[in-house]
Amino acid sequence: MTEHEPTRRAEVLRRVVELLRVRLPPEWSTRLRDDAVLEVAAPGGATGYLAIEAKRTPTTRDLASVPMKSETGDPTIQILVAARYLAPSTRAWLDGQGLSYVDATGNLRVRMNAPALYISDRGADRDPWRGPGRPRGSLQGPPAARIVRSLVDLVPPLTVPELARRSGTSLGTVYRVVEFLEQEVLIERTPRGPIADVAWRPLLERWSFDYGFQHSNTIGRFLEPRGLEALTERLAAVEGLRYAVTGTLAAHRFAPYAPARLGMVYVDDLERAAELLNLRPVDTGANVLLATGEYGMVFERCDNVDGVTYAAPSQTAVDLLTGPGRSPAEARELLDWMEANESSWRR
Amino acid sequence: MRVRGDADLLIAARRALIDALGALADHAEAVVVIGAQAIYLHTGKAPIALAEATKDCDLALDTRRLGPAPLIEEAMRTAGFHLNVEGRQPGSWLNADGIPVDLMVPESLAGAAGRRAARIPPHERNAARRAVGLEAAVVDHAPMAVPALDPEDRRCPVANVAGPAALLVAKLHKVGERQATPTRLIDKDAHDIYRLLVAVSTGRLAADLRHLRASELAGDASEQAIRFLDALFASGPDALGSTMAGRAEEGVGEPATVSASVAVLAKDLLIAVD
Repeated sequence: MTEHEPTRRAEVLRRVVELLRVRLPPEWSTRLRDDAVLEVAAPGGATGYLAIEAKRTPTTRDLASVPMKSETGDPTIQILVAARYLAPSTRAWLDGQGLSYVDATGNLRVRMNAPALYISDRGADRDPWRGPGRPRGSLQGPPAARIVRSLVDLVPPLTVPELARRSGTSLGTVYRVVEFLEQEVLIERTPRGPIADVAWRPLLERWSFDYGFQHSNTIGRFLEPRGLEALTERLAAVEGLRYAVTGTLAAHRFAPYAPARLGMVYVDDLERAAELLNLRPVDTGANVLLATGEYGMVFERCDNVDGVTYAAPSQTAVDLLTGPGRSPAEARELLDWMEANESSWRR
Repeated sequence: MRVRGDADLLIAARRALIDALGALADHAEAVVVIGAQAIYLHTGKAPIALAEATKDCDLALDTRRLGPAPLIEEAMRTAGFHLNVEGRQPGSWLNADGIPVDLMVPESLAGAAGRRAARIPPHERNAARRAVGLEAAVVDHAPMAVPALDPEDRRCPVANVAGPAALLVAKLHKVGERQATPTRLIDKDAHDIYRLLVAVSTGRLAADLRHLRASELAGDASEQAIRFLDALFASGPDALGSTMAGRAEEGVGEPATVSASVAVLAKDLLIAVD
């Protein structure tokens, strides 16, 4: 959808009210009372109000000041964040806060208790009206990956130079990433001081938009005909091979949630690893995925259990978040475990 | 103790399910197996390297058939279950091995408005939680044998298992209500829809959906689910739901084939329903 860009606040409001109106059941009606309150009436006469917080293209930090509830405490008044465009990470944050939202491209999720209403729809995943200039930040690439892994794995406080040193990344890159993470309310920094707090779970979830086991690496699909137990036995016995087991097999040590059907292993060289592990390359029916690429941090802070090297919990979590099938649900279970046992893996 | 290792996980989950069915045997008429275990019972093992279920067990309670005795919380505790206090969710029970069994009541049967807990006196407030989209499961279900998966365990109780159409309705709601933020967490639900459409004949699904659509309790939810099926799957392999179903097989299966198949089967089902 690339209609002309709604630049003024009034245009954004008009567009989002129209988007809501056409999605309501036919018997419902809406009326914009002044320029900040939308009246929503159900067929039986029950009426609720959406207090609109209009923004242009807000970052998560811009939204942190939005009140969660109407100041009057009236349960028939709910907050609705309206914007020209809301990025996927911003929508995810709003979801997490339980706030209703709508943007001018058609992304919307509105929940009212009285009268009961729930509507949800999807618009653009990229800002169709973003002008030229410096792109919005992201966590793409190996340097950002090293910084994220360090922020998650190390206990704060951490100064920026310390973070640069421990993650092996240039100071300039660290400043850029830290600025972006502050905007996204994923870290807290004392003014001109160290990083005091890291929202490590949302940070890993946000990183998974930019990093994925399959998307960010070169993948080889293989079959271990005797199954995953045979794979782990071979991994425990193999010599002269750097690797890190991730995915379900790595999560099972902490939070077994779904049976392991797929082995996911980081290696340096696909062919050599496949040969040493006696894996057969296949086009379909793979039960082992080997990954290799430029992301050296996957081998950092691994554990060795019964002779098998496993990726760190933070790495395992992001790999499951972007994995196939039920992997993302396994990630949620692992992240729950990590929250409950922070001192056992965060150093 | 926590169950470790892999082969045991589905075995342990099935054992917990059978234990819970035993605990609630006096309420057997009111208990319906739903969720991934029910889908597994209808569709069988996945032919590719994807887990077909997790350790979660979900049971729906039909309060219209639920008697006052025994009290649910007492029956569950006697059978060795305890409420999961960490999860802060009502109805979230764990057995001694840490396997979760969730007891849920469809929103429209869950009593006076509340946030999470189902109000089903005389049963305790924390015994079960309210959940949207389960109305179809208490309308469309049939007795099925639920065999233990452990060769040493000979138990094979008969329990009400939600029908494939009811499971389809529940999954369509899950995908439909999340379409504004289609995270990968929901891909598996889109893939479950694909598995159901493949495993169950279009004729049977259509007949059951018509029945659901006509029911007072589940009519609205089913009508909405059919609209989701149309918009998210039947409109083509590039539709959001079809794409998500395919993406669930990324790296291990045939994403393009899955997306195309689910779109075609959804379209067939829509035609057969009308």
